Amino acid sequence: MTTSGIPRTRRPLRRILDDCGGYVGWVLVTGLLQFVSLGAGIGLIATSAYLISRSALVDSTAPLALTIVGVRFFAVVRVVSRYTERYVGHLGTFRILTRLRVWVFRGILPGAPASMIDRRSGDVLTNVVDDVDTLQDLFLRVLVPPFAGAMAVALGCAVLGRFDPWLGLALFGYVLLCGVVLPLATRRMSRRPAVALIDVQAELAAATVEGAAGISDLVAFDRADLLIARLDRLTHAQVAARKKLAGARGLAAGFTALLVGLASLTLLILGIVLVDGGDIEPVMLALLPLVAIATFEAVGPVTASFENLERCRAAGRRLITTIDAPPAVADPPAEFGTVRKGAPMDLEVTNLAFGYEPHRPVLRGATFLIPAGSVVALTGPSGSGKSTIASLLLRFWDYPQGSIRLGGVELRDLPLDEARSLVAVVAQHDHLFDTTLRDNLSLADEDADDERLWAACDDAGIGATIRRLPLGLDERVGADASRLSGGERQRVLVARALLTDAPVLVLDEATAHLDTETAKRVLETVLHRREGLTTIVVTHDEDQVGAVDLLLRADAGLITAIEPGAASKGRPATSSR
Amino acid sequence: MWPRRLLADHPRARRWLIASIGCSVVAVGALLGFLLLLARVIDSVFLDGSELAAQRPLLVAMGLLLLVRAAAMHVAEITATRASAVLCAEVRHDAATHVVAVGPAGLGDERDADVGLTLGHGIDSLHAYTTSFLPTVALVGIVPLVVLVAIGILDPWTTLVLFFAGPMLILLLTMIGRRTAALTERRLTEMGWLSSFYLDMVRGLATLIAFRRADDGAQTVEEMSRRHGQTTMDVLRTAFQTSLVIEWAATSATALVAVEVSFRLINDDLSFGTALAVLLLTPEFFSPLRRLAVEYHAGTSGRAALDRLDRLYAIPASGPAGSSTDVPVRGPIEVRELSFRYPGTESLALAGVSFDVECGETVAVVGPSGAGKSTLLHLLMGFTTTTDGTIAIGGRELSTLDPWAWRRQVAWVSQRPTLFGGSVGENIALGRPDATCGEIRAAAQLAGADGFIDALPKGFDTVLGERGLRLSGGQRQRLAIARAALLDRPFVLLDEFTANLDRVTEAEILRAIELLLDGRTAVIVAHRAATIASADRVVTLEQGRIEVSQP
Repeated sequence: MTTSGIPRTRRPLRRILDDCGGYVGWVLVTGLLQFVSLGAGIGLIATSAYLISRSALVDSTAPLALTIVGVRFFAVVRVVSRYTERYVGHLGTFRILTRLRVWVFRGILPGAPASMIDRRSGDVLTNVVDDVDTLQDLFLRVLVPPFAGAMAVALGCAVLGRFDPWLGLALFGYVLLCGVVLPLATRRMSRRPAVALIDVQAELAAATVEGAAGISDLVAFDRADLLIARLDRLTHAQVAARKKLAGARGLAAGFTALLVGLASLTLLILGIVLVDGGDIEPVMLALLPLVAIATFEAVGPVTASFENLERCRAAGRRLITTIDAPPAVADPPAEFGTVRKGAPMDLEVTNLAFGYEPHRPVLRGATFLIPAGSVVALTGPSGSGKSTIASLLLRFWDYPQGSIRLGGVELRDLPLDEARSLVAVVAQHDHLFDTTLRDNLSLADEDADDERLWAACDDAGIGATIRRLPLGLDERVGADASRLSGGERQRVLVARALLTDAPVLVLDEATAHLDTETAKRVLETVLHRREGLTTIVVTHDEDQVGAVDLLLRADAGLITAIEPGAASKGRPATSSR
Repeated sequence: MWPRRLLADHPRARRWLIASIGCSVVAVGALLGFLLLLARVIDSVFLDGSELAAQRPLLVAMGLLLLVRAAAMHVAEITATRASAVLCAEVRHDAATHVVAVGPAGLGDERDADVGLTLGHGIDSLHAYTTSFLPTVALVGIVPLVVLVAIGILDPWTTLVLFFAGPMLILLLTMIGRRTAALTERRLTEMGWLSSFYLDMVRGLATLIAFRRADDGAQTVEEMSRRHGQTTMDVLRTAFQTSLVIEWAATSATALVAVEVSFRLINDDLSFGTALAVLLLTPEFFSPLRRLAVEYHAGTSGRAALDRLDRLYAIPASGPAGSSTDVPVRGPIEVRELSFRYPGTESLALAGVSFDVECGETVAVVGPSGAGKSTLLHLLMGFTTTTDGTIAIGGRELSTLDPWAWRRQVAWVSQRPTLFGGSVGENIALGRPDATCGEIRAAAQLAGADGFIDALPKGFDTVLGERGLRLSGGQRQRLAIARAALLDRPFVLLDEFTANLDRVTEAEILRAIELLLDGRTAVIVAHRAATIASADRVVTLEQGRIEVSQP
């Protein structure tokens, strides 16, 4: 993941905040509470210093009663406001995060899934989720601290300024140096290593996952040194970046400590001068440097907010780039067609050409006609465009050249939802959600009752397996369907697709993980259920399909029909059809 | 709290860490000195009416202490990073070496991702653990004592206040800590759940769109976020109690000390200078503890990473291996009464399997998944060992041979070949990095891979993306076959090698494989009839036993 290749989006955070809305109230309330907490800190130290200074001069507690109340008051306010602030702050974060998640989800919908496939970095999906997680800091760690900090600094400067304007100005000068100048200076130092660190960390993550997954290859080929050397090299690059960052951070920490100390020292000296000149009472002297120290408590989070701002901006920019990606497909203008009820669902593809990238065509001219209700086998070597056809039928991508007519209507003239209601696809990488089998199946048909769900499962050859599970259809499948075996997962996907009863079903290597016998049986029941509906079986193993009405062969981007049986060299069909 | 064993194992990191902690202590000491002098100067100006000129030496000393403090903090940061640098590099190197020693048999399929995380993000999180959390833990142990002693010298009465406040605070924190530990666990689970739920939904976008359910998906995201956000807040409210207690203790101690010393000032039990010094030092008593609350997260994720590493090291390195490097370069493979049981499982993965592979012969092992085919292959590859039964290579027991030397006589094609970052050519040359371009091309040709490689933007020099994303399953398989073909070795082991190939390519590959197997001794694990056709004999495994052995 590199940040350099990302086009600059103007003011990404402003746009995100405007679109998500509702954050101003939270910033105000949390900022005010944070200010109260910081202010109480200043008040506590000021009243305490004043209290003991006065105590040195008086002989009874009577004149100090009010000050003592003040000390207690500020202490209580400090504790209560700190707790409330943290609570309200996190509540706001969660509310805003919810809005952000939904906004991003809805935002990437029009471009998805085409926009999710980035040929450069590969994993847009994870980036989207990581970036949303990063942006949760936007509220509490970017917007609130400058707001609350500015008020607290103003308070501290005003308290000192009441004694003498120069005192307030001196404190303000140090705050500016520490809160603005210093972060700007160290940011310059840390920008390059920070970017390098992000890159090397991403590479490390990939290298470790890759190494663990490929351990058998590495050991078999006696190249474990490759993994260890690579990890060592990356770790050293990571360490080098961290050392540079530590240099910058160490400087920042040292200078911050120096500036805080100098601020209190300066105020002490100015105070002594003013006391000497009789401009302020000596009893106030202790208060001056202590208020300065307390005021600096507000500066730290502000400095950190600069760093967080950078991270959030980069994340926001990436998100908006994904969201603003021009959609690969769009609904046609309103006047365009719909498929006539009862029309025969012939699928006619003519001269279809397509490529994911310019100048790298995947399909160069597919031409075939599938009469409604056919059973079709589509075969061909890997990379010949078999799976691409399925994606085009689902309208994940637009096809600039050629034509796909379904039920007599050009597919790109149909509203997307209608086109997708006519086609169901089972592909190897289809997703099962981390929820129950029932929820996953119902995705295809919200209103399906148990009987219908079971029927689909039985037809997909998975019913018996599910019946053996303690919770049956209510069993959870786990993250990435981890609780199912590869073959079980594929059959659940098939069952889900069967529930659509779509006029066209594409089974794209949908039984690859099943042994030959089971695969044959599943296909048989599936085709039996879909009698009268078109089923296209994409496979590398023609034997599995049995008798077909039509055999399509994909080769180097051309898809053409061949006579059934011509290519299977007279192998006996096992299907009873 | 303190990872004694980890630091004992990495003495260089420990030295840097101790240096860093030392610097931090110096920085705190400088601050305490600065505050004491501050109190002293204020005292003499306020009560004795001393002038600025008279205070100059003290003011200069204060400035110098500030410089010492700044320098110490700078060095502390740098040395802490040194400690983390040494630690991360050593830990990752050792862990990776252990992963290799454990080998594929020990790791197993489902643990791959877990191991990757341990080596990657897990060890990354040791950085914050070493640079932020551990120094703070040390300061929590040192600074309050130093402050207590300093105040004790100045004013024993106030020491008593802190003396009670300290243990009270620790008692309160442990009481709350016990209650919140479980809650924090729950909070992390809740938050993690929401994140992974969201990732799940985003991953399933294409599926949602295909089924025209994208809007419902957005609604589910909203509903789940709201519902779980509420639960999380309930948990957080309790979890915040820790920081509430620390804040309460620090604030009330300051207020208490202020009022207490002011009463004694009025009664002339105490000098103003001492009273002010005590007031200034009191917050420093609590300051490391407050910082620890901030660094809490770095602590938990660091400890989680260490736990992960412990679990990794708990997987034993693959059994006792032989050491003889004198490996036969030809001869039959004789498997005798071979049994294997995975640790912690009831049933035998292999139960008394015997068969022979004559010299130059190809034997196919078939059977349903779970029949023990992979286990057999792992044993043959020397990834794991068993004491129950024997494998003999050219009459010599495999268990007496150095597994690395044995594997140097074997060409291997795995079921799910992994492509490593690097060019296509480098990936083919995995087993022979010194192979020439011509040899690599020839191997690719044999595997039927040269066609698609030439179509790539830079041919053999094309760099493969993350986990070889740009290649299809079949293409990856062909690269793996090219890898094996590049090695001219007497033994060949093939694991379901045509599982992802279409029939035309498979036919081509089978011809190539026949060339590869010619004159070599080979075991093929397969489930497809076409693959088996090239075998001289077929062994059928069922539930760890040989069912049929047919010529």
